[in-house]
Amino acid sequence: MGFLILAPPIKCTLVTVRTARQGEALEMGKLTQEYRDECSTVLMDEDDMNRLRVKEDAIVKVTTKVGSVELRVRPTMNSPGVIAVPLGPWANALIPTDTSHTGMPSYKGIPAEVSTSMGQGITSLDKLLGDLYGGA
Amino acid sequence: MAEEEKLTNIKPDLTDVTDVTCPFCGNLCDDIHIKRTGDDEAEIYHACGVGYFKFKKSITKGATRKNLLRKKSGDKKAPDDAFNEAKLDACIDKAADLLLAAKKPVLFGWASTSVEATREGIALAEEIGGVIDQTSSVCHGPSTLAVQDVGISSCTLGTVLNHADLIIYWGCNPSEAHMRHMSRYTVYPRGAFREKGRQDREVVVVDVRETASTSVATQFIKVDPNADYELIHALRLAMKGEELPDEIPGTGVIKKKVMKLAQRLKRSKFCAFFFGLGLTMTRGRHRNIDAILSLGAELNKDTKVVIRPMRGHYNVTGAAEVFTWQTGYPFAVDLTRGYARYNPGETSLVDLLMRDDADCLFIVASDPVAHLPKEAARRFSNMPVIVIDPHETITSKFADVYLPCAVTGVEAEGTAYRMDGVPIRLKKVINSDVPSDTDIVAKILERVKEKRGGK
Repeated sequence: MGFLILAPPIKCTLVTVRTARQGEALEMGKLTQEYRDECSTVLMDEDDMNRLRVKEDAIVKVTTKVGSVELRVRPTMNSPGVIAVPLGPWANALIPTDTSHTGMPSYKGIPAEVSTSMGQGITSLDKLLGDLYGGA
Repeated sequence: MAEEEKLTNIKPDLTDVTDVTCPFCGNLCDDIHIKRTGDDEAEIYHACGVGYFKFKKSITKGATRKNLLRKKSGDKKAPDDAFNEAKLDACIDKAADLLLAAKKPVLFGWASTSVEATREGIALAEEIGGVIDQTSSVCHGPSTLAVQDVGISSCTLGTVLNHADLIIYWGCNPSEAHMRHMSRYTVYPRGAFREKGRQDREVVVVDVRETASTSVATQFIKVDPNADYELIHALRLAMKGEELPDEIPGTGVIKKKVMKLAQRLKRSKFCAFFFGLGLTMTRGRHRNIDAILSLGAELNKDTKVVIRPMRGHYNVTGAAEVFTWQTGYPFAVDLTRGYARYNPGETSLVDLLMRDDADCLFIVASDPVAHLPKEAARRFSNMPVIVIDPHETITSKFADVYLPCAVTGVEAEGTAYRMDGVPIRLKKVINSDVPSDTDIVAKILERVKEKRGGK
């Protein structure tokens, strides 16, 4: 009987970003596979990935105080403690709605936690949209 | 032969169109060349990757665009076969009915269409007594608040091209978000007083992470998230000759880097600051912009400094212009009382949704369900939604009425404002099988007036 030793979750700061691929994919269509693939990605510092013991294309769970999603991880250089998720439905599930009376929610600079996924797979667009149907 | 026949069917003036304006980002690159090679094929020159796909998708027409009406109003749980195809007139009638039945309809979007469409939208909001807001409220709205507080020292991008010897990108990543910004206006082109182009200019990038843009930088300053306000004030102190600690508290930036940037600023003859959502979406929001605009005002005592926001949607600047001409305010304008009220945080889309204060949504040229925080997007299931957009979007899945329209800048003409406030004409490069959003909004306005007149 073997034991799976998971690395402890990493605390970091989430920023939502535009990426060139996300920009191109949204023009192709927001229901295309290209859009789904790019927007369900999290960009993470390579050293942080090593600490979490995950490799490129692994699935990780990103959690903020408003929710969590499972995303595919892609490495970036020299950005320890900062993770970036392209703008889109996956990022939206992590964004709080408080606007500090400006109209603008905090799309960047959100405290977040990244942990290894327990094999749920990337959160699907249908699941995210399903959460929206039926209202609040 | 078939190919020749296809080509002869195309109107001559649309087979080879030069100086086309790209309707994607605030750059409004107006040097695109589109050469038609078939009914739904074209060679697209000079556009960036995003612009290329924007034109390609519009020219390569897919399935016929259909006007859609939701079968069972109020039931938004069945997304697939929830719609009936309907005639344009029926959809306009339904949209007018929904708007007239609402107590506080919210008209949102407007940044990715022409100023002509926005003009009609404001007339409609005034007629029905609604709130009209544009995507700026979740983009550079805080920048507008700061500009209203402290003013802005500004110029056109042409002046930056000809004069600037120091370019500072703060909290933005033009290499991925405004792909031709550096090559058309700031870093690489040769200007009247910058004859060597890139060699005559220095570039500083300030960001929380390394991006494609940081590789271009002469100096890259990596600041901790949510610490821009502190760093800007440290720079203001450094410019005034005040003593700084060895490491600027809370920013992760050492004194040496701040002093180096301060010296660069003093040495420059013409400095252009460009800031992005890295300042407006983080802690401090409009206060970050307030600080950077104040820094610019102070620097103008020593050198010439201009500051511009990196506007995202191609006509977000134009939408603010029209809003301001017509109502006095640039976004989040509440016309429910018969006069214009402006109070971002109360009259802005996200706040209206979260207070459950809106009872009908009229969305033009925007996809808020794909970009608002989840809890705000969930409110789209609570009320009637009317969507006018060239393509079916994630928001249109929540629509009660969906009206496809021509892509402004590809299938319809119009006017848009570049990020520096320069109006540029959008060209039509292909014929459209559906009306423009300007026409659709005007028709809805007309129908609303008819219905009200008949009461």
